[in-house]
Amino acid sequence: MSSQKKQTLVLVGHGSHYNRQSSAPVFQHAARMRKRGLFDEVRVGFWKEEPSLARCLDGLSAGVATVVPLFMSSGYFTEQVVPREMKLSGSLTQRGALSIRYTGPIGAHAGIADLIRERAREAGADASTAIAVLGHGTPRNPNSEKTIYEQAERVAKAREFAEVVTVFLDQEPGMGRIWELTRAYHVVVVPLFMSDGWHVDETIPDELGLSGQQALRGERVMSYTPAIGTHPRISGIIDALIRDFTE
Amino acid sequence: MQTRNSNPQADWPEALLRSLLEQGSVHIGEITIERDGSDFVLLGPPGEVERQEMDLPTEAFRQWVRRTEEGAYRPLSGALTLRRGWKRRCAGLAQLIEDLDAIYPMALQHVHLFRQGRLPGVGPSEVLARQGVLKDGEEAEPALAEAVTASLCSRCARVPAWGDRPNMAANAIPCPEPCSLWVSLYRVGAGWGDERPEPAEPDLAVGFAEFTKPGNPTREALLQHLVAPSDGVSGKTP
Repeated sequence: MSSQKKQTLVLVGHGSHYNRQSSAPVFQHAARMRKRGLFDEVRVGFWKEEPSLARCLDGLSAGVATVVPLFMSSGYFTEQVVPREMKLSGSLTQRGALSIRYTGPIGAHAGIADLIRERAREAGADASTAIAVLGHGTPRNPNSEKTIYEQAERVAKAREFAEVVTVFLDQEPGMGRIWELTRAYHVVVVPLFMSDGWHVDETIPDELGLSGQQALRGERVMSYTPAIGTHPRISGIIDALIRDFTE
Repeated sequence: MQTRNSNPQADWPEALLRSLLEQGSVHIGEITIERDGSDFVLLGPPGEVERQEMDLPTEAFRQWVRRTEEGAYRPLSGALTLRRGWKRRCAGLAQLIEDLDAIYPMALQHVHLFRQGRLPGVGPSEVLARQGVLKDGEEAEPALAEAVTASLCSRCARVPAWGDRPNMAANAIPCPEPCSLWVSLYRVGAGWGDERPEPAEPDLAVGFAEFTKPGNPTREALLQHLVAPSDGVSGKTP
């Protein structure tokens, strides 16, 4: 950051009352960004943990604060909860001498598709494999599914794998249909989630009948990868969102 | 918390800590800070045996303090359940500031702003309305709000800085508005309406935020406060 104004990076995430892993990637990405020293200050903020979204800008009165939502889709949280709690009026909010820039969510960035492919390869995917991109989805906001479908489409366009399907935790098509929606012998499920928290660690493995990172059905094998949001290269996507920010 | 830099606006944490440490050691929440030459030592609450040195990188330390002695998750950073019997050496003020933020996020900012009269408190009604728990023009139910504060905030090192509260001790951590756990507990209490469940024996094995589960200590305290209202958190020692 070349400007003389104080530059603050604020990474915001969901957090959890029940699972400490939920916020761990946000802290880890903040630590990586801090170590690089590009910002005067790096803060975090959460919906369900502390510091809260509503108070994580406390004390900042001048300079530029760039808020990057570490969410996997555009939707209820990025369009309603974060702006409301942080009193943001759009992509640029002027509060006295403080300019607050609000970028899109990391999950909507095109670079996420590369990380999905990388996660799949790490789980042994090749040209004969089916990939299931698993998103949360919500009936509350139709934009939420859009991001997930777009990422799956990008993965499909790369033509690296035999099949690419999109499934959801909280809407149709549900993840229980992965076997039926794919034909390949090997299916790799890539959770488009921010953390290995409650859903990725507990509810999804339960519903998919995973034992460890795998499930079997007849001759077929399902592999399950860590959450996309835990990938160390998320920092590169944060960089890109900041670099490409437009009002 | 912060990356140190040459920006003068970033100098206040040092000034604040220096002023707090003028008397020697200082208590913030459950933590004691002592000077050791140009270094500092963070002391957790005393345990029954000799203090264990906690020589972890900051992020590992942050994850460590987010669990109780029994390994349970502490979703409320100020919860009076910090692990006991440890000490941690901090090489300089910058390290001390980072470590304090790992234990009590934003605490130093809030102490600083409160001392300057620049930490406006936001009360329960405003927070609940903002989050859609209350409809426009509705107010928080006073008896329930008071009972939630008494049940939850009395378990926290932060001291409510909203509403009509007693004077804050110099090293108390002011809490500028009801947190997300406060809102969750209020919602549970509001959901009961006039049909409150039967109390159960407090069970420390129930998760801190599992307010709908019988035996959750905070839920049981809320039930008790709703039956016999107290004077909130005014008796708490910050």
